[in-house]
Amino acid sequence: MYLEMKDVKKSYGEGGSYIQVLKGVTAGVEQGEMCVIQGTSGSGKSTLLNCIGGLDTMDSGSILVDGKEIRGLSGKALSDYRRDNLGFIFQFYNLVPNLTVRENIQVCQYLTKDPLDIDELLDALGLTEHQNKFPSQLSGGQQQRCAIARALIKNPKLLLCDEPTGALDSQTSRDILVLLEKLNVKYGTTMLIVTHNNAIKNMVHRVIFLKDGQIRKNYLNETRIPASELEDL
Amino acid sequence: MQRLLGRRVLRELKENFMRYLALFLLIVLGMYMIVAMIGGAELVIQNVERGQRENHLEDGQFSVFVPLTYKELDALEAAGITIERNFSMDYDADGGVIRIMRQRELANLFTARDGAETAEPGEILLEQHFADSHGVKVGDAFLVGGHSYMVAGLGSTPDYDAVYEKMSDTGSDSFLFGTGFINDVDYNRMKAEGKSFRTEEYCYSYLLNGKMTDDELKEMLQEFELDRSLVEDTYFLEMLEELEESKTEMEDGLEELVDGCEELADGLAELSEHNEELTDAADSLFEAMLDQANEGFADNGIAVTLKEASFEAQLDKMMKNPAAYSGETKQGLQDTKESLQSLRDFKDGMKEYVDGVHDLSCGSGDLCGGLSEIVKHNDGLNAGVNQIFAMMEPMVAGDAQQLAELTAFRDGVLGYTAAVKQASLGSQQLTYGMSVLYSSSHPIVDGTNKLFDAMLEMTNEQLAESELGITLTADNFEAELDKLTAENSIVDGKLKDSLQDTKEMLQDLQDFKDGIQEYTDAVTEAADGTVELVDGVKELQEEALDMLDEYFTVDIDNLTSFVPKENNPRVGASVNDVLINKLAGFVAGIIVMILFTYVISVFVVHSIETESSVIGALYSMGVRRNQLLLHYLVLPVVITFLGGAVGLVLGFSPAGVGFMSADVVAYFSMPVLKPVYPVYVMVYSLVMPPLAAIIVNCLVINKKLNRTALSMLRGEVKRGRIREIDLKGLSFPTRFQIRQILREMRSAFTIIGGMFICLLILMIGVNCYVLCTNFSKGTMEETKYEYLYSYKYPTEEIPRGGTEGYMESLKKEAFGYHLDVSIIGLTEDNPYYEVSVSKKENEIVISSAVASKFSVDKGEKLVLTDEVNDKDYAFTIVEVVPFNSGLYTFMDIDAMRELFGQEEDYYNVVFAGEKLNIDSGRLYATTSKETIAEASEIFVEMMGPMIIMMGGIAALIFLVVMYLMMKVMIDRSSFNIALMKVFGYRKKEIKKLYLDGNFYVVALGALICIPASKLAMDGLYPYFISNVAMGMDLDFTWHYYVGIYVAIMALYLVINKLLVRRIMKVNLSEVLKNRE
Repeated sequence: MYLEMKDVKKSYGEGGSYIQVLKGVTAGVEQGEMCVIQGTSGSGKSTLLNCIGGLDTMDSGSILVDGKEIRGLSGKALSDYRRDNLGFIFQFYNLVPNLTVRENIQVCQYLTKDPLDIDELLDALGLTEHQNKFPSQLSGGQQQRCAIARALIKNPKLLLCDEPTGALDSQTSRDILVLLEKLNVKYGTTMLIVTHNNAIKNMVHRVIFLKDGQIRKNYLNETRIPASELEDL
Repeated sequence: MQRLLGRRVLRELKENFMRYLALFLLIVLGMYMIVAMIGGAELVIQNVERGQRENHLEDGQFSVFVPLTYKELDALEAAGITIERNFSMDYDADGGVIRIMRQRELANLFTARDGAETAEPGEILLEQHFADSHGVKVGDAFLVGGHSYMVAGLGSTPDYDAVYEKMSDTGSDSFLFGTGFINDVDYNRMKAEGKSFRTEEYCYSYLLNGKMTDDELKEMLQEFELDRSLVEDTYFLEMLEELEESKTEMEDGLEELVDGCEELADGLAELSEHNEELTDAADSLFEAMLDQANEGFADNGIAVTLKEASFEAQLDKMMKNPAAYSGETKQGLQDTKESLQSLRDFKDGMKEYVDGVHDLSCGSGDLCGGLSEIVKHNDGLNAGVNQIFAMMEPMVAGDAQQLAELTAFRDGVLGYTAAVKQASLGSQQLTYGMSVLYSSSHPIVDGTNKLFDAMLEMTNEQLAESELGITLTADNFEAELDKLTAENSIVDGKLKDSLQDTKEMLQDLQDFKDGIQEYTDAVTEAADGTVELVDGVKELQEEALDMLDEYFTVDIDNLTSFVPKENNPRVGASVNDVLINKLAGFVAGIIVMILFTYVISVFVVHSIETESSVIGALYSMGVRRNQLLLHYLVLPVVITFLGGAVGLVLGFSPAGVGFMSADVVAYFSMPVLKPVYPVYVMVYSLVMPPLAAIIVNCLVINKKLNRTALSMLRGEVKRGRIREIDLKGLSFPTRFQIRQILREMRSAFTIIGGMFICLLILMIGVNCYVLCTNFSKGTMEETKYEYLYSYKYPTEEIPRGGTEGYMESLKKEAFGYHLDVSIIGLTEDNPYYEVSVSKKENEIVISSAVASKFSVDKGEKLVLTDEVNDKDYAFTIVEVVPFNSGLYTFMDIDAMRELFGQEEDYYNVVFAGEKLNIDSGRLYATTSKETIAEASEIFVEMMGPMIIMMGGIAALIFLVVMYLMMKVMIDRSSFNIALMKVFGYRKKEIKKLYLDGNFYVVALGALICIPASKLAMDGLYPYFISNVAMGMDLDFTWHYYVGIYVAIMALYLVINKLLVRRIMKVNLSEVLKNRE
């Protein structure tokens, strides 16, 4: 198991405002799998993703990534963990506005000694002609592709995607998902996709359904359909 | 709506309390500094001006060689002018010099800081700083001129605001010089004792009372004639006497000449009377002797007749014939021969003698002609001599009328000397004739004596032959011969006749002998007379020439100085000193406030950008832009207003105006300062900061708010070409840093702007320090003499060990101030100045100080003004020499003497390598290298606190501005920093990307701002020191630039270090908050 979560709990606030977001989540994802964490708003899916990404700390439980426990790691160790293992894709792209497409990708290229070929990646993502443009000059889909390229450039073992199509229209969403699918195949990257979009679960290997901080469903998708054929995105 | 928005203001303040607190404190600091500067200046200005009013500051002062007469004082009073004697004497006192004056009654009254304002007999009022420096307090005893005075009061007088010993001084040291005021009785006693090391200075203060102008008063003073009887100064009297002595000596010489001439004329007249008589007598005597001898031959039957031409040969021939004559006859012949020889010698001598008389007469004629010429010019000469003295009173040197009088005098003396020359030549000729005459008189006298003796002997022989038993002598020959030739005499008739002839001949001879004696006595007398005459003529010639020279150098004005208060560097110097602070404070206030409000606007812009979607939503709901503008203005306006108010209070506190004016108060002598609160300063402090905030923020915010609701909702960022610049080819971190700087250009420019302003503030201090140290260092290096003696009454001889110089002080206007410019006349061998001067009167070498002060250079014209005589001197600058310690120019001493109408050996300063023994009464001042060094160093000491304060404030403002701006950069990038953290960037890497780019901003900014601020401040500095008579050597060594650069970078590193912590505080959750 590449990613292994055991009884992960997380709460916020104190007293009257106390709220337990994760109430003992236990799950696992194999290397190279595409996994969707699905749930309604407030189900705790983003919190779980943040805990996996080392962006947030859990109250209790354990998260092992490639056999390495991330709970209790120092800030620097967490930073190294993210640096060496993770790639992030956000709903609103989070591109650095004053950097060009190429420079945004270089932000992460800079972090690794063995990055993917940027030109090849740009080409793969259809960004070659836009590489010197600034984010404000790009469409939403182009921006998200840029964000994906940025996440992939360092060839991460685990790609964490938080609502990657949340800000995109249906066609663009499909294009992005097709792209992710291709990249998964091409680079064998383990992908964890947080979404409330019900259609995406059909294209991934594993589906984890969260509700009120607990896993309601966790199953392997035996009837995967290609992203290009997804409907109701 | 506005109320709701108002709540947001409070929340914004709460959220960013530290940021706004820092801004508030920055404004407080800035306004404190500005109010302290302006308020401190006003404190000094208003108090000094009050002191001037209350203590009746003079309208001006003037000094004279000789005190004004009562008549003159009455005339001034009648013209409505108030005059007060402000005489002074200088004494050594406890290692310093104290100038003792009478306590004032009409003008420049003493105002006490401690104790009394008037001094009773036995009491003294002291200048406050002098007293402080010497540890003297009210009630202490103070020793001056051997008298112990009780200190009755410590204070100041408005005419010595800057307590300069000399008006040309550039600085003062309260330990080295001060003023003291005593009662009339004490003053007169001290004056009578004459222990002052300098002669009494006759200075008068005047109040015009609106009756006339300064120029009119000056004209009136120049019309007064000098009353010599009032001169008390021994050296001035000596000078007058020297001038008078010339006249007396000339008159004496003339008199001697005339006496000698008269004596000579008498002697010559007497001599001439006897000339014919003497020649005739000599001829007849010779002929009689010849006749007598021939008669004797005839009586003895000798057929020989002696002739004048051959008597010697004839007689020798007769004496050589032994057979023909008896021995007795031969003896007779020998006697006859000798008698005749004596007579011939006498005749020849007589001829020479007469020729001598002829020469003498000719010489006498020339001499008399010369003398009559002299006499003819005597009146002119006397008039000229008198004119010299007349010249000493009215002092309009260079006046046309005077020039005409001088010319007349010169002509008179020239005629006189020509006559003397002629007389001198005549006298030489006369003397030669006289010497010939005198030497030739000896054989005449000898010949006459011999002749008489021979005649007497011959007669006695004749008497012996007749056996009469009588012997004739010179005394009895007349009586004895009378007896023998009487009718009843026993001698026979023939002998009687012979004796009668002999008697007559002897009488003639005796008369002749007496005449000759008389004659030669007269010659002797005449010879003595000519010697006397020659001496007299020589003396006269010498004196006449001296007088001629001296006449043209006499240029004594009674009015030695006339200084209206505007031109008096001692008056209101403190006001001049702080005026620039006032101006600088105003300008600095506006600049600093624009900077601060711009800093605020950066925050506001950051808020607007952050709240873009909120603003868009508000716009979409109908909120107007002006409402939002007002909303975003509230915080800046409130902060700046409060900052201004607190700064105002602090500025007016003792820590503000008190601190800022402390140096001025400690240096200048002024009344006790009473607090002043100028309304305009209050208005300025309370209105200017919020006004600047409104203007700056309106310009900035308005632009930011001037977008559509949709654009705001979308958070669209305005694209800029510069921001999108192509940076291909650079490494990623460099590109990132450049992009970051381009993104934060507003803050980066604010940092650079802040740096520039702070550097300007710093440069005020550093330039001041450099100026003072360069001045001090330059003064020490350039002052090569150990002592400089300034003469009031120079001696004829230059003191041994000294090198003479001639110094004149003229004026030149710069920035409204009339500054003293000294011209130093140098001899070629002056070892103390390595200056090569021109020999031309209109060419001058100037110091670099003059060049920088008046912005003149080689080849240009320099016009200097003699304000006393209303005369301009234009010079061509032939060289600029590096000389920074004072406003000096240099000329050849001879050319300078010629230019200023001084005699060819005139000097008024002496430079020396060691202390010389010069009577202090002759001196205006003695300046030692040591005192120059002390005075020059005092600037550094005095300006020290200001320099430190400027440096401190500059550093503080720069720190805060840089911190705030770099912090806002981080705040604005906090999301991206969080993103970087999410990606796994480490602290060092984030710092490199987001902070270290500022290194280049600061490094490059400093590289530009340091020289730019230096240039700007160098350009402004002449205005700052416009009232100081010194050069402006603001040259930095490279150490200063490096030092400032390193300091800036060090401050940057401090801020960088502080902000790394800020970076670390950026939470990763920032990324997660992004929900657009």
